[in-house]
Amino acid sequence: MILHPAIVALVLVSLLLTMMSLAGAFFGIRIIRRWDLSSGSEEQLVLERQTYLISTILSYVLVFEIGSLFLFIYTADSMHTLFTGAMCAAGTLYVDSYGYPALLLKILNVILAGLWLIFNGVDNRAYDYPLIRKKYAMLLILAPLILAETVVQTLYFTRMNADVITSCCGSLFSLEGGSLPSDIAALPVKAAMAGFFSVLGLTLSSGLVYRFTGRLGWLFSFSGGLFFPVAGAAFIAFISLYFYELPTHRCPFCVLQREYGYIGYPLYAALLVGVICALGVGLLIPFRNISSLAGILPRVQRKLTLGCLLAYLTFAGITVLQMVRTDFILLD
Amino acid sequence: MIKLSGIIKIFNSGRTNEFVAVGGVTLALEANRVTVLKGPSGSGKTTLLSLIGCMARPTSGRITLHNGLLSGKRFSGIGEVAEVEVTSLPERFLTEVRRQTFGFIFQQFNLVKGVTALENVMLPAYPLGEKHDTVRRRALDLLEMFGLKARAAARVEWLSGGEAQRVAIARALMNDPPVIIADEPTAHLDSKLSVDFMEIIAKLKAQGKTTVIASHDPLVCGAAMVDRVIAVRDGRIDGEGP
Repeated sequence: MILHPAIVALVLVSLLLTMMSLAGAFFGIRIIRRWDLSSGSEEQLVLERQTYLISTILSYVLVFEIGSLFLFIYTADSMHTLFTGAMCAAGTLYVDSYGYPALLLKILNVILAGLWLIFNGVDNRAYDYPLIRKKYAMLLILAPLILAETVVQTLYFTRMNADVITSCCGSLFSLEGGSLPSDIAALPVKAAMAGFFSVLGLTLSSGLVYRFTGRLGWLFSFSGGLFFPVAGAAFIAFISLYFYELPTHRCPFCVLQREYGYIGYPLYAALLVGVICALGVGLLIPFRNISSLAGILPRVQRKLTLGCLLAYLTFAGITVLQMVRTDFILLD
Repeated sequence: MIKLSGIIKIFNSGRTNEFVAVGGVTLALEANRVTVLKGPSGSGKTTLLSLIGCMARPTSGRITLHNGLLSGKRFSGIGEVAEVEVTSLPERFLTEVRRQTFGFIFQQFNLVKGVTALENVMLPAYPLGEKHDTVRRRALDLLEMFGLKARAAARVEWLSGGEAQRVAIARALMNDPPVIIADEPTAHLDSKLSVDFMEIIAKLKAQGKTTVIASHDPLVCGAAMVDRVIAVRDGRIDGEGP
């Protein structure tokens, strides 16, 4: 293990997140089994007092979870100089077999944490705890995933060995690698562009319809959720080429570096905000008929829709601006 | 109506100094009535009042405010409701229910020293965000109602005991609450002022207010406008009188 300050911070934050989320999940089991708002029992009143505290603590903890993703990526990127062959975070994550699983788990957990925060925010705004059981059931899914993330991330850091010769992003995201990233990189550019702009168009149009009429909520949530992987694949398939102005460089990590103005951070942050907001809209649709949420949910869903639209427009805006501005010509 | 179901309040629960202040009270307090909780010191009257007034939460049991008390009241996040169960409400909702439903008169009056009588009366209205002029006008009207308009600009430490008490009553009425909660209101008053206080309570009753008073003062318990006297002893209901 390399005792880099950021690694120590990430490991400690992960341990803290795991402890708090497991404690929250343990409390959640009590809520799911024992919650009865019609009862005035001592246990029920204690649960009512504790849930406010627990959910507040978890809210802060999960904000740390979201922040830790960007610290993880930044750390992986900044450490590439320690490994022979690595040119960016892509190589650092490849130094052992736990790097990419840790990253994927972190992305998944950030999305789930965002959804939990939305759910919790809505539940706390109603006076009769309408989503409390579902909120803690969701935590029962999230907590083991956070534990898994901590284990995989710790394995990744402890197995790191500076003597290892790793692969650079050029080979990991090449057209002939035979791996999933290579297959994505090998997608036909026109098809990738068509897919990217179609899903973007569908998300924006259904989002606008939903924002102003309250219709097509499911379609918006689905297309907004779909845009996240589509945009990721599109970045590798063709967007990256416009940023690097090279016909063969398709790395999704090099844009996080200074040479590219750290533009990858706002790009990926926009994608994450967009997918969380879009999925959040769909997550809340089944609860529109709960009377205590009737005045709250439409407002929250409209805000989430606006958040998603702005985030995806930011992503698309930066991307299209680069495509227009650069001298690089991919398609005639 | 204020309905209490199986209310228990235990302080320092599970510790060696555990104390059961209220030991299982089930009670219904009718609207537009004057109810007195009567009992010796330490009997649990004040604890019961603080639970009714949503200033404390019970260890177990539920308290429900029924329609009649809540007519015309609209709580943000809850809406206009016929009844509301207050013990399960998160604090952010409970604060508004407490602010709009109850006016409190304390044994020591608890006026804020260093500011005027008028400013003391205006205080409960500040969180509601009304226009300052509207609040000021209403506070002056209340002071006038209690014959204190001339003392509006006087600091509260300059007021006599009777004046201070009437300022405290005016403050309790500032947000036009349907329920007045008074804890030993005559404890520091002589007989005449105590009688004057009960006359004010009679006027409030005539205006449709519901009043709950904790007291062991015979002048209060025996007053003509009192509809119900509930004896409290050792945290339990120990009988009832007219």
